[in-house]
Amino acid sequence: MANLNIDSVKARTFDAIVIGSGMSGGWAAKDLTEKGLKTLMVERGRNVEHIKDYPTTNMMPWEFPHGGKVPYDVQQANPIASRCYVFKEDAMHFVVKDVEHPYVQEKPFDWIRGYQVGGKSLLWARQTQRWSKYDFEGPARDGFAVPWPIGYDDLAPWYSTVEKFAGISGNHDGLPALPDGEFLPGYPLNAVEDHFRKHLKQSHPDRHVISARCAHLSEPKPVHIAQGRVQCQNRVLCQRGCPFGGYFSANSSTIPWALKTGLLTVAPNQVVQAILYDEQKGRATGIRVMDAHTKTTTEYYAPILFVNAGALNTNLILLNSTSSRFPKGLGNDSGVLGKYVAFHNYSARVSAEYEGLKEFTTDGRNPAGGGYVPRFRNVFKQEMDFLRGYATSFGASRGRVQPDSGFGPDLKQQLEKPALTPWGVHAGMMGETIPKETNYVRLDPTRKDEWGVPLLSISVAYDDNDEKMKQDFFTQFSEMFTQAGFTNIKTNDSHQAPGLDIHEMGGVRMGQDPKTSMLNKWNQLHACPNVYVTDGAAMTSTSTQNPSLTYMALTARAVDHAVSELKKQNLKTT
Amino acid sequence: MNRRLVIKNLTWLAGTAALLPGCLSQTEREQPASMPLKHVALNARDENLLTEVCETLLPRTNTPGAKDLHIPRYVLKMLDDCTPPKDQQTFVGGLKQFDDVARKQLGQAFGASSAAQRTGLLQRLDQQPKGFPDEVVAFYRAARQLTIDGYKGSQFFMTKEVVYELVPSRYNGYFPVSQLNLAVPRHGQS
Repeated sequence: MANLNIDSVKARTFDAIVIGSGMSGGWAAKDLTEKGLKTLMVERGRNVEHIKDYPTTNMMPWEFPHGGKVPYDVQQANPIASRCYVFKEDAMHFVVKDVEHPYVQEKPFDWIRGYQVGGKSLLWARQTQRWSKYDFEGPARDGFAVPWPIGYDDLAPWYSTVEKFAGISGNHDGLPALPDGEFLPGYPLNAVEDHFRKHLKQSHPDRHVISARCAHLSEPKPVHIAQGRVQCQNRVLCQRGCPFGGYFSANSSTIPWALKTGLLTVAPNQVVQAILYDEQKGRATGIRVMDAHTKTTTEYYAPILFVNAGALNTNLILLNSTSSRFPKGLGNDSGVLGKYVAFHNYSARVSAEYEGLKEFTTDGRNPAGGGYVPRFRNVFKQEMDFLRGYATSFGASRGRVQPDSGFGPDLKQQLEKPALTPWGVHAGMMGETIPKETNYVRLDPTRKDEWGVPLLSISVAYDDNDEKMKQDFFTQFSEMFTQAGFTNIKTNDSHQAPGLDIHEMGGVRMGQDPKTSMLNKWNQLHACPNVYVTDGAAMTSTSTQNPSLTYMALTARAVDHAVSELKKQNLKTT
Repeated sequence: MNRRLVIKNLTWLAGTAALLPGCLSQTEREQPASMPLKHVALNARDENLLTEVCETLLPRTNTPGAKDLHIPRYVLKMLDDCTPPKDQQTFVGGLKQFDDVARKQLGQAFGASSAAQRTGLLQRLDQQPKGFPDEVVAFYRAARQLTIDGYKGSQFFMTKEVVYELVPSRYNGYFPVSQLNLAVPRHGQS
């Protein structure tokens, strides 16, 4: 990045700056450059170029020195990262090591991070569902957090925009609680997933099993071919990075698209210390970064800034951006910055077996993972003794019997021609949690990281509502599984800490009222409108959907607004 | 003497050590294992014993056995790199005790015994573990599992037996079991 070291303000001035290069940052860069803005995208981690920097992507299982497992020493040195399901020998290079980026846990919180160009978009589980009007209306109806300043209709066209470009597979299911979108063909349910779907339709007409909607190119369109992506090849090795671009990531899609405009500068290894605020002009003017390796600091300038550092790091940057105008952090007149952090409750599973449909198994691999049961609790009105509800991932598969005793030629033969097990089924809860003032992040008062940024101190925990919801999930799915003829039903409470869901949200929430929220309906800071926050930090509530699609739709909508405001000179006023 | 010859001789020595346990000098006993080990204290003699156990678990038949596929080295690597210290200690302690048990029950070292004797001992350990010290059983169970893992993860197994598919390019959720060719099951088929 030698060209960035030119010591002149002009060379360090852009039309827009995007902080972060993941799911939402990549989208911001794409849309800003498409609209003609010379854009700088800063990323604290190293560069990862599509295909070129996927070192394990075409490795065969036997080529991994430890058969895919993480060495014990590495696990011991990284207890937090080790709890993440992608932290295996094939993808551990994309997950932040505990020791390299410490933070403070006031309460147990597994903060899983991906510091590289593309961020966690390389690693995500690719599940993509729209929010419905019932999700946006939740806080107002049920009296928690603050009302969303937007509704489904505000976001719907932007969902469409994102879905068409990213490529989302799914079926038109016609469910009010889970609006349909612009879909590529959905992946099929297997025999037992379908059995459960049919059964549920009879026993509980208000509950549905649908094919999971996911960001895979089941049938690429011209816009995907133009991105250099082709049909998903059902490898299901996505976490390594996909040489086909079969799933959506910033690396395979938005970033190369933005680079093609010639207007994007990607600056990896740049740790943002703070957003610069000019008291005279009354607006943010740029950022101060420290090079991750050389430790030199540089300032960059632009009339608009997009903060997409990943929910909690976005909080960190704003909290650390202090001035005499904003002593408690940029835009934090209300004092709510860092508060009302929430997440998804992924701590509950129900598993079982099915002795039926043994005449079928599966062939190939399903990138969607299986089925999805949209939220059915408290959707249209409050019915339970807990607020909100849960969506559920549902899947079935058959394994191979491995004899647990015996050896010699017999064992060899059994391994070579293994019998099929019965079907195993599993349901995983994805519960909405309620944002509360007591769930917060703040700057550690004394400790800093090696780039001069205070450590983030996290205090987030479950509450009684989460516990009640979890018990309901256990009861309901045990019952539904029994009715569907499944046996050996087991409930499993993982007691996992918040954070491991990798769906942390909030802290810079949207809201109508500047006294109780940070962002307006366009994702601008109420008190500093040329700064937009469009990652998970902006979320007023969490609902039950996997959040990435909504972050991208919010980003697309906000960029459109920012560029039109810029044209009207509304963001340059002093 | 060139390096290759030295290594050859070392291997020969290690082999001899297993055959002639009574004649071992201190130095011979302390020949290092064939690969550098960071955590577990196993020497060439231990490795030889482990190798024979692995081969008895998965012998060469009309397909390659544990030795042919270098599974003992995989077992050692996984033991050294991926096993918690407590389980490593149990494994190492169990291996040494297994050596003693073999000598007592077979009248000679495991490696020096006939195939039938080796099989007989493992058969008792597999089927009647109560007759053996806990650590020996734990060693046997762990060695058996690692050997199976090494076999199922080997290039041979994944290219000749189950045919791992890196790029399946398909998914069928209603695949008839009747069409499943169990002689050549494919990885993509669950």
